[in-house]
Amino acid sequence: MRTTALLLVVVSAIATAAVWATTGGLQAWTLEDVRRLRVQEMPPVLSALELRSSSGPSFVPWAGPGSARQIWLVNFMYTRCPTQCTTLGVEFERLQRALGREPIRLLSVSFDPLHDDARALRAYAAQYHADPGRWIVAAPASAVALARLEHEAGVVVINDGLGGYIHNAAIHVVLADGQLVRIFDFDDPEAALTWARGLL
Amino acid sequence: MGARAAVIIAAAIGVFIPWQGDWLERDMAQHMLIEFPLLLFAGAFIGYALDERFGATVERFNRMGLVGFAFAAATLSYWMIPAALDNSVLIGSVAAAKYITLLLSGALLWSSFRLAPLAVQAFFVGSFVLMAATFGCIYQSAPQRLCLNYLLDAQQLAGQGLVAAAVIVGAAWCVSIAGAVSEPDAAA
Repeated sequence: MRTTALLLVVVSAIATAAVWATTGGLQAWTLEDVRRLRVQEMPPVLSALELRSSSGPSFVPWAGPGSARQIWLVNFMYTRCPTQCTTLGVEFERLQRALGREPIRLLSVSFDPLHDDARALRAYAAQYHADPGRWIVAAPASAVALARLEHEAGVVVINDGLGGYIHNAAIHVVLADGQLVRIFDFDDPEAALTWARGLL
Repeated sequence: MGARAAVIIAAAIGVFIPWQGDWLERDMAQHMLIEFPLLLFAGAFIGYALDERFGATVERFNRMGLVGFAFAAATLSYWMIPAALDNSVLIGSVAAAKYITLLLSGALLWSSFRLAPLAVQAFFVGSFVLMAATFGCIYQSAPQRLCLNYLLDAQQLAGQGLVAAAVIVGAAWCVSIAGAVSEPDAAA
């Protein structure tokens, strides 16, 4: 019976440790909440990323040699998206009007680069009146770069079964060195902006 | 059934799951309601096949079936956590841990149901029913996706399936013990 009792203690200890590790100390039960918690506790550094923007030239927003010193509010989208990304677009359109001369810029990254060529990106930018000085609409220059970005940021994109995608939409605050420091709800961009301003 | 037949069935499931894993795990309901039970059954067949040789050893550390029930209860509750289920789809090592713990749970459950008195079985079955029904209700009623890898309608279907599984397991266990509890008490 002693072996049984000892094994019961071992099983309970392992189970508790596994649940604790998976849920960030019982604070989050979904992977999205765990992702946001981890970003706060230990900000991951996103690799330098080459993007092609709707206005033509490719650029590296963060962590690259030519990256300007600014804070990026980043969302992920695909231009054909009829649901979440429409809200994202409307919210970012509203947000860009609130931006002053501070070094904060908006960036919408398409995770559907195959379809989202320069023309599609331009049309999306035009639809939401994106001012290129404040809001850049872009797509990763390669599939490898996109996969790396999704992996590093914890973005999961799945097929919606109707020819489109579903993803964990959010606003990501990224510093000039590529640190992803905070993730906000996609429908609360003011909170993201207020928080980013606090970093200046 | 002979031990060889049990091994063949377990091996068939063992081949089927890696072969059809992508399809099984593409849908949340399939993942939880087909893959999980298949792994448990494969484990149980392994437990059955090894019983003759290792039954006595297992019995020594699994007195009254307690370790097996505790391990299976912990394993099943863990993989019902949305973040754990998501990780098992995204991270290879977590997927491996899921396969191993569910197989082992199946094997241990085979031993535990043989060794445990009815009261211990009732406690385990009762806690499983409660847990599966609770997770099932949460998955059914959550207004947003709880798993990044699954769509909302699949999540709701998985929730309904978990509630159904809770009812079926509870009812099946009651039926299986009906004979034992209705026998006249020898001491009376």
